[in-house]
Amino acid sequence: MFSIRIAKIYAFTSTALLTIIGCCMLLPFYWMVINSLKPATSVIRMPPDLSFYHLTWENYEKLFADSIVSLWTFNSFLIAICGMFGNVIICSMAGYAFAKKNFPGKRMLFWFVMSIMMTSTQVIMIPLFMLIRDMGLLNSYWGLILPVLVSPFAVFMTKQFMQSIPNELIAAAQIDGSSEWFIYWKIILPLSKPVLAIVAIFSFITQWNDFLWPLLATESREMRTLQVGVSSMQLQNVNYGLVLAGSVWTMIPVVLLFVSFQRFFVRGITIGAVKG
Amino acid sequence: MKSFRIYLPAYLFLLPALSLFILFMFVPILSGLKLSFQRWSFDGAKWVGFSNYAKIFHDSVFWDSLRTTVVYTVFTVFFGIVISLIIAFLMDPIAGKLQSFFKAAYYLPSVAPIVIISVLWGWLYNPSFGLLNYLLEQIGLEPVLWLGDPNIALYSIIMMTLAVSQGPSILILVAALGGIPKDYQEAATIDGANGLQETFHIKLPLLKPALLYLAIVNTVGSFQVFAPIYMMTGGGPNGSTTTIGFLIYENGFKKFDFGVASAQAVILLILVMIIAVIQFKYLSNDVEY
Repeated sequence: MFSIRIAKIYAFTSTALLTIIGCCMLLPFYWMVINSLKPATSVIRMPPDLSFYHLTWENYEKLFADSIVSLWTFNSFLIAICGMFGNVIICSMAGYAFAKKNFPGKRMLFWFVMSIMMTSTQVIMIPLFMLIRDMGLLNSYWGLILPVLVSPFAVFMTKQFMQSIPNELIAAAQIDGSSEWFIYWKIILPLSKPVLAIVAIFSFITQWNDFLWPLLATESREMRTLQVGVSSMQLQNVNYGLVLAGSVWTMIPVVLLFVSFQRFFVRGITIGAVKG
Repeated sequence: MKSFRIYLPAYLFLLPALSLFILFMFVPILSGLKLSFQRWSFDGAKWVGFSNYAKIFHDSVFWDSLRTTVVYTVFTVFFGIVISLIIAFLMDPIAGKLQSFFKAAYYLPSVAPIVIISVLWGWLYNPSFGLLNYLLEQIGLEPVLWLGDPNIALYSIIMMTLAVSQGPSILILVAALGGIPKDYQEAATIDGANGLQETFHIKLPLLKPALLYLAIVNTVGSFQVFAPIYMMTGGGPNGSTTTIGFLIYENGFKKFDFGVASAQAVILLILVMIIAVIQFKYLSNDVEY
C-alpha cells in the first residue's frame, strides 16, 4: 500500500516538473509564432509581447509579395519529395536483397553500406562539390537531388523489418512462378508499409531541413531552398518580422507531418537502439 | 554460369542503391583523400605530398578548432545524455496518453530546422532586446554578451544545442526504460532496495546498450558540427567558435584552398572513426536480459 502511494506521488511530481520544463522549452516557439503576426517593431519589445492583441498578416503579406519565397518553397518540396521516394524505393530494394537473398559478398557489401553512416556532408563537401561541378550539375535540381536519393539509415531500417517477413511467403510466390520484381513489388512492399512510412517521414524531414548541401550546390537566388533562402534573409538582417514569418513558414510542413505521424517517429527512432 | 543467374536478381536489387552510394559518398571520400595531397591553382592540380598536412599541423588555427570541437562534443554529448536521462526517468512512471503527449512535446524542438533554432536563440541571446539579458536584469545581474564574448560564445552554442536536440535521446531512453522487465524492480523492492538504489544499481546498468548507442551516435554527430556555428556566430568572435567542420567550409569555400580543406576533412573522418571504435570497445560489455 505504502509503495503504491509513493509511486503516485512520484508520478504526480514528474508530471508537474515535465510540464514546467516543457513550457519553458516551447515558450520561444510560441513567441516566434505570435510575433510573426505582429508589427515588426514588437519583436524588440521588453518584456516580450506574448499577448493576442494587434495581430496582423502584414509580415506574411510582405513575405509572399516577393514571389521568390513561393519558388523556394517549391524547390524545397521538390527535393524533399524526390529524396523521400528515392529512399523508400531504392533503399528498400537494397534492404530486401540484404534481408532475403543470399549472394557472395553480402556481408562485405552490408558492412560497406553501414560504414558510410559515419560520413556526412561536412566530411565530403569539397570533393562532392567538385564532382557535381564536373558533372555540370551545380545550381540545378539534379545536383540537389542525386546525392540525397539514398541513405544507409534507410537500407538498415528496411532490412531489419523485412527480415521478419516469413520466407514461406516468398517461396510460395516463387512456386507460383512469380517474377522477382513481382515478389518485391506486390508482396514485400505492401507488407513493409510500417517501415516504409518511417523511412518516408524521416527522409522528407531530413531533406526539408537540410542546410549545408543546398547552401553549397546553389548559386542563384532562384535555386535556393527555403532553408537557405530564409537563413540568408536572417544573416542579411532584413526586417525581423519578415524573418519570423519566413521561419514559421519553413516549420509548418515539418510540424504538420510530426503531429499527424507522431507514433512513427517514436518507432523510427527507437528501432536499432533498443533490443526487442 | 548457372550460379551467376541465381545471384543475379540480388545484385540487380542492390545495383541502384550501391551505385548511388559509391558515386556520391565513396568516390568523394577517395577523391577527398587525393585532393588532400594536391594543391589547386588556376592551372590545375599539383601533387604536393604531405605539405597540406604539414601546414595544418603547424597552424594554431587548426589546433584551436580541434580543441573547440572537443570541448563542444564533450559538453553536448555528456550533458545531453545526463539531461535526457533525467527527463526519461521523469517520464517513465507516467502512463499511457500523457506519456505520449510529453514525448511529442519534448521531441518537437528536434524537428525544427536549424534556421528556426538560430532565429529563436538569436532572440534569446540578443544583447539589447534578448530574453535572457532581460531576465538577468530583472534579478539585478549584469547583461552578458552571449555570442559576442570569446570566452562565452562557445558555451552559449553548447547550451543551445543541449536545449534543442535531446528529442531522439529522450525517446530512446524512455523506450529502453520501458523495456526493463518489471520483475527486476519487484525483486529489488522485495530485497529492500529503495528508489535511488533501484535507479543506480538496476536501471542504469541495464540502460548501457542504449547509452552506448547514444554516446557513439551523438559523438559522431557533434564532432562534425557545422550549421549552428554558421548561423549563430560564423566561427567568431575571434575564432572562438570555429570547429573543424566550420574550418573546412571556410578553407574550402571562402579561401578556395581545396587541398588544405580536404586534408582537414580527412583528419576529421579519421578522428570520428577512431572515437567511435574506442567508445565501442570500452563501453560495450554486452548486457543480456
